[in-house]
Formats: sequence, structure tokens, C-alpha cells
Amino acid sequence: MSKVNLALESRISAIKKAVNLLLEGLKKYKVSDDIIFDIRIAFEEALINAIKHGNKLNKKLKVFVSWEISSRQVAITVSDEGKGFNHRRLPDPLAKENVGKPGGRGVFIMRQFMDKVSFLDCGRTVKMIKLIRK
Amino acid sequence: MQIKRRQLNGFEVLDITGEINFDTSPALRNTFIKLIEEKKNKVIINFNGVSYIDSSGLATLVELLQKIKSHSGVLKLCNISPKVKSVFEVTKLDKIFNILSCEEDALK
Repeated sequence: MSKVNLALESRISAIKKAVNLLLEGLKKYKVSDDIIFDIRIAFEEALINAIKHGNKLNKKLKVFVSWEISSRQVAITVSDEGKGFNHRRLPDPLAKENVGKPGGRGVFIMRQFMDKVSFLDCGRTVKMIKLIRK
Repeated sequence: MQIKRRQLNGFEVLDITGEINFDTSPALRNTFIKLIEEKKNKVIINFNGVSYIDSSGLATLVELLQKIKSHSGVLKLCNISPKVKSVFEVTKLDKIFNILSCEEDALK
């Protein structure tokens, strides 16, 4: 099992390094490209949300990231220091009135591409799990 | 991400290589805005070289679709890989965009 903990600055440019580190870890476990794609898209969405919406790009606030990779699954946690949000009150991006709108798909994509997504601490923390071997 | 422009059968074709994501989607947006300013309103985006797209990329494409439609134009997408297409499908954007399997079909 491999475990990593990071503290990122709340800037969009911090995302690439964190993502590349995770992808390197996944490759060591010989995870398939399709599953890597799923994990990557969900992880990036979580980071963008934490940095942009959670911490509002405030450089004084951090985003805390951790992950554990085992032969069976990847578990990722992303936490911001923002005001939190009610994940149950997000507009449905599949609703007729929303599907043609540019934004509002980040959390939905996380839920679709990971096997389990849960929000804690008033929405400041998201935990995601993806099975890499059934 | 690299974007190459070419013209074919009255269409502007954008050949994109790389990823359409939070980092690169502004460049796609800028290229597209230039096309609209040049009054090119029949556009095909060729996804043959696109390996990844995120919600920022989707948001940019939706915005561009709205822009070109407001200029009575047409936007088609073609050659999307199965994994990238899955992102359109789960978000139901495959019903909003005109997605063709190959460039030949897009040129019709």
C-alpha cells in the first residue's frame, strides 16, 4: 500500500503536480488506462472545486490532499478551508434547464467516475474510492 | 494542447491534439472566438488527437456552441475516442452536440 499526504496552495497551477504524482503512483500498481482516466477526472474536479469554489483562490488557504493506493482500490481525500457547501442542494446538470449550461458538472462527474463519493465537514472534505481490481 | 486550423468543403476544421482541460481550454476558446470574428460559422472540431477532457473543457465547448449558434452557425465534433466520449455521454452532452464518428460524416 502507498500513502501520500499533500498540502497545496490554492492556485490552479498546483493541480498538475498533484495529479502527476497520483498518476505515477497508480502506474506502479499497473492500473488500467481506463481506470486511470476515471480516477484522474474525478480527482481534478475535486481539486478544482476545492481551490476555486472552496477556498476561492485565496492563497492564504490550503487544500489538503491524501490518497492510499492498494492492490484493490484507491481512496482519495480532498479538503479545503472554505465555508463549505450543501452537496445535496446542487442543481442537477442533467435537468432540461441545466444540460445546455456551461458549468455545474464537477461534482456530478466525480460521482459518475468513482465508485463511492462522500462529503464530510459541511462539504469541505470529499472522500472518493475507486476499485482498481474487482 | 495544439490546435491546427484547415479549411475543407466550406468548413473550418480544428484539429486538436492533447487535452482539453482547465489549463488548455482558454486557448481553444480564443481560437474559436477568432473564427467567429472572421465570420467562419461552420466549424468541425476533430478530436482524433484528444486524449482527455474535463468539466472545464466541456464548459468551454458548451459556451462555444452557444456562441456559434447565436451567429446562426454550425459546430460538429468528430473522431472522439470512447473514453473521452464517455464524459459527453454521462453528462448527456452527447445529446446537445452534433457528434459524428468520422470527419467524412461531419463534412456532409
